[in-house]
Amino acid sequence: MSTGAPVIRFEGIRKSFGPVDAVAGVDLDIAEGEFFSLLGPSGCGKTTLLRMLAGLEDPSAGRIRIGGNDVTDVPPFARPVNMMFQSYALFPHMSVADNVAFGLKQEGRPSAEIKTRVAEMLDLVQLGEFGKRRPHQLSGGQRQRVALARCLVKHPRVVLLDEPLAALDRKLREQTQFELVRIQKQVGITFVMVTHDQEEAMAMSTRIAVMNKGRVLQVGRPHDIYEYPANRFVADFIGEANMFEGVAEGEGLRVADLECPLALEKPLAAGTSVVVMVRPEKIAMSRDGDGAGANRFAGEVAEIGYHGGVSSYRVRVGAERLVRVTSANRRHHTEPAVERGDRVVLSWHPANAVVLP
Amino acid sequence: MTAGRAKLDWGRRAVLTLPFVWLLAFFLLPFIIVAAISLAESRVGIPPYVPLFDWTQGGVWPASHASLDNFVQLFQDDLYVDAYLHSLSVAGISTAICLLIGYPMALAIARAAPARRGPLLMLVVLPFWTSFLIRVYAWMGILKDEGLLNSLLQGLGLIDQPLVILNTDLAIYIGIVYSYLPFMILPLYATLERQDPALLEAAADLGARPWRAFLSVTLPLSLPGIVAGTLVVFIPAVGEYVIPDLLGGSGSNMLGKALWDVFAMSRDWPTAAALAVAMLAALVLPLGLLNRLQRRLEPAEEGA
Amino acid sequence: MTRRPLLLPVLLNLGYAFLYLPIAVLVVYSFNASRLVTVWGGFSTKWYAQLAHDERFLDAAWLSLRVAVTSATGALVIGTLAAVVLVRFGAFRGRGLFSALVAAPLVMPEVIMGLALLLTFVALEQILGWPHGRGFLTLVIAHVTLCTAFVAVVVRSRLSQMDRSLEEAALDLGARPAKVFAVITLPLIAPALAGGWLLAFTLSLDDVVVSQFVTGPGTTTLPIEVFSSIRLGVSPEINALGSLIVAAVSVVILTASWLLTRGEAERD
Repeated sequence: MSTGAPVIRFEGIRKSFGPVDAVAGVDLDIAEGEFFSLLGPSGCGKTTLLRMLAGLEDPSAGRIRIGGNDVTDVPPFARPVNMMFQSYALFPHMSVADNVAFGLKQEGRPSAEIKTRVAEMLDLVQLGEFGKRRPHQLSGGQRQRVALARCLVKHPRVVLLDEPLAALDRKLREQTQFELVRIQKQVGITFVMVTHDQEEAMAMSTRIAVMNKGRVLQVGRPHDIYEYPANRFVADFIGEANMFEGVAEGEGLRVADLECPLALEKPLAAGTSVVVMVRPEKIAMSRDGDGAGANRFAGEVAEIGYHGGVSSYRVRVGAERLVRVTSANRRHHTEPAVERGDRVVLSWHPANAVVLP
Repeated sequence: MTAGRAKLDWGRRAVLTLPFVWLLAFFLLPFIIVAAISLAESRVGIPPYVPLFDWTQGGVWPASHASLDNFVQLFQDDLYVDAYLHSLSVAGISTAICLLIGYPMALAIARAAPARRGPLLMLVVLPFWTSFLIRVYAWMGILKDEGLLNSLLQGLGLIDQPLVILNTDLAIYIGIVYSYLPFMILPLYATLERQDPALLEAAADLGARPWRAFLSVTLPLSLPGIVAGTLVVFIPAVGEYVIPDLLGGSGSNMLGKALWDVFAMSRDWPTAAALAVAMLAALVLPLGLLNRLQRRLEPAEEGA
Repeated sequence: MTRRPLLLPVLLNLGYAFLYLPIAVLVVYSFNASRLVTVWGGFSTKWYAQLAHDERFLDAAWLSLRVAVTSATGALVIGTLAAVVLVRFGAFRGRGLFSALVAAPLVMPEVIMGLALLLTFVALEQILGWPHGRGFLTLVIAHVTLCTAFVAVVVRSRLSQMDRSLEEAALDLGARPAKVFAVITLPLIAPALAGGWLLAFTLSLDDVVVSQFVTGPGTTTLPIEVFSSIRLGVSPEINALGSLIVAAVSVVILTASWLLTRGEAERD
């Protein structure tokens, strides 16, 4: 990641639709060359933010800078960004090559240059043979690549991707994730992607902004966001999380429905209310060992989900609480170690838990 | 605001101006003028009414008194009251027949294989593209005493005396139903076609017989189409002029015909205008309903 | 739903019979040598020959064609702009009034519209001295007003089906709004424009009631001519004229719908 001046800067951006704040004050910097993702549930304002960057929506307040220039009042056709739409928005009455050439024609480039640049771009997305076809003659994956080529051909400062993989089926989606990242590295252009799919965002991005209700709740590398979520929403939205809400007491945390207190890595001032979050794969589960002591809880396996590579368990601890545990199925041929109804003991090292305000 | 944005707004205003001004000048203004003249006094001359305002003196001067005399006259004349009620009843009956014929047709088309729906619908609309007058005229040939229908029935020995259909209300019903059927079928088809077939499958799965499923699923969901189709047929049918004139004969007394006669034969423009206002009054409610119905369908197209 | 009910298709076919029988009768009898509708006097094309030499009908037809082409073109421009406003402009002051004004002519009884327009022309002539007298110009104004609503309906439904992001993509790729409209929007709604124009053309060519109000002496359109001759009694010449119209309409509509389905296939 480069550390120079940000290529994109949102300053206090707001967008209201009538009484509703779709974006409620966002300040955000995105650096040159990043693959940046805006991640959040539907209606969190991520698409609105992206469309404001493209100039397709006007912010109600705040400024947007691209490459240091204030572009807030610049119309979309004059901004150095290009967008890949969720529907791809390929012009149905034009050939693939004409679609890709469209942006260059608007710049008034000589036709020889347009021809070579279009050909180069179609080669880059491995559609060199398809220039003469119409969009409706292509498969979904091919259309997606045409849309990408059409964005890249103008060499914009920033490429915007609105749910670029949503229309593809699962297998193709994974393959395309790597493909997009490869192309982004190759062309060296900053990508900003909107997605609701956390796995997609984690696999592809250099950094992620997690959004909810029009606000950015955390910005960071995928690893940081997963392992060190800043708040309950992020912890819950990204991956799976076990949350223990309690009050600090002595060295540990007193949780209402657990017999023993939770051990903490660092003691907190007595009386502080916090939530301790533990990821399911950080919890060890065994059939032997006793259920006494800090961070050791006896329980009963209530549900098992077999996913092939891993299995997920819900273990009933105490009367009410179900703790989620996942463990890898490492060995072939062995009988399942745990079955429904088995008594088990759960434990985790306090360093693997995160304390959330 | 940059030049680009300012221009955009200017462009929007320009796009709006032409249709808005045109419709204000040639659709809204005419109704205001009709309303004004319905209050004016009739006279022999050009124009055949006393203008309410005098424009010739360089300014607007009230030239005569507005009065409701024309309307009072209308209500005191049995001929007009009768025409009024008769028009509403003819339009109502014709609309009901239209719905009864149109609904099964629309449903049959909506239930046909998707590839066949377009052509089937096309067959419904196609007659509408050929001359309306000539289609009504074709019915004259069929319905008259020595017409095709009667000679067919007599030839088959079903009747001895020709049935008198032409120049009766029945002929008017046939004419209106025939001419307006496509307008009934189109909105019905639009709502029926949108219905998820899985709804009927669910109803069947839950034990409803086809007829029951139709009554409790298909029919209620197509209500907007029924209302729209009914209004789209009823409103113009109230003012229908050509069909009563050609098929209903001289005895048929309907508003559209009365209006034309008063306008063209008696040259009594204020009374014609009063008749138009009276007709509109009957249509205000259906028109408002139609407008609301259309507006309810609108938000879908604006998109967020 | 494996069991297909038989009732519906039967009713549908009865409906089609109702719609097409009169037209079939008309066409068949246009070739009848006898003047009487009920008597078949042998095959003949004499009514067509007679029609071809009837100056009144030919003059009226020529006038109607000119009025229809002019009105349809005018209605296409105004109706398309109205559709763009309704689909793309979102909320603005007067939108409710505007949308009601656009839609109302669809259902407004023609006698009311005819009378209202005539009274307006008379009043305008008194005040502004324009339009001078009644004839071609007043016919065109009236027909444009009548047909605009129909064009707007056709174009509007196509526009609202169109993926908005196509225009946004063009804007994003550097095309200015006017260019976007010309290069993206217009080609994509072209089938609707053609359909709207044809519809307006047909309505104008067919209109008798409004025309009767707003036309002046010496300006007789084809439907007015036909109407007055029908009122005088059945004439086999009208059968021939009707058959010609049916033939022309069939050819145009079938071609248009073929073009339209081709356009649809391309769109998706």
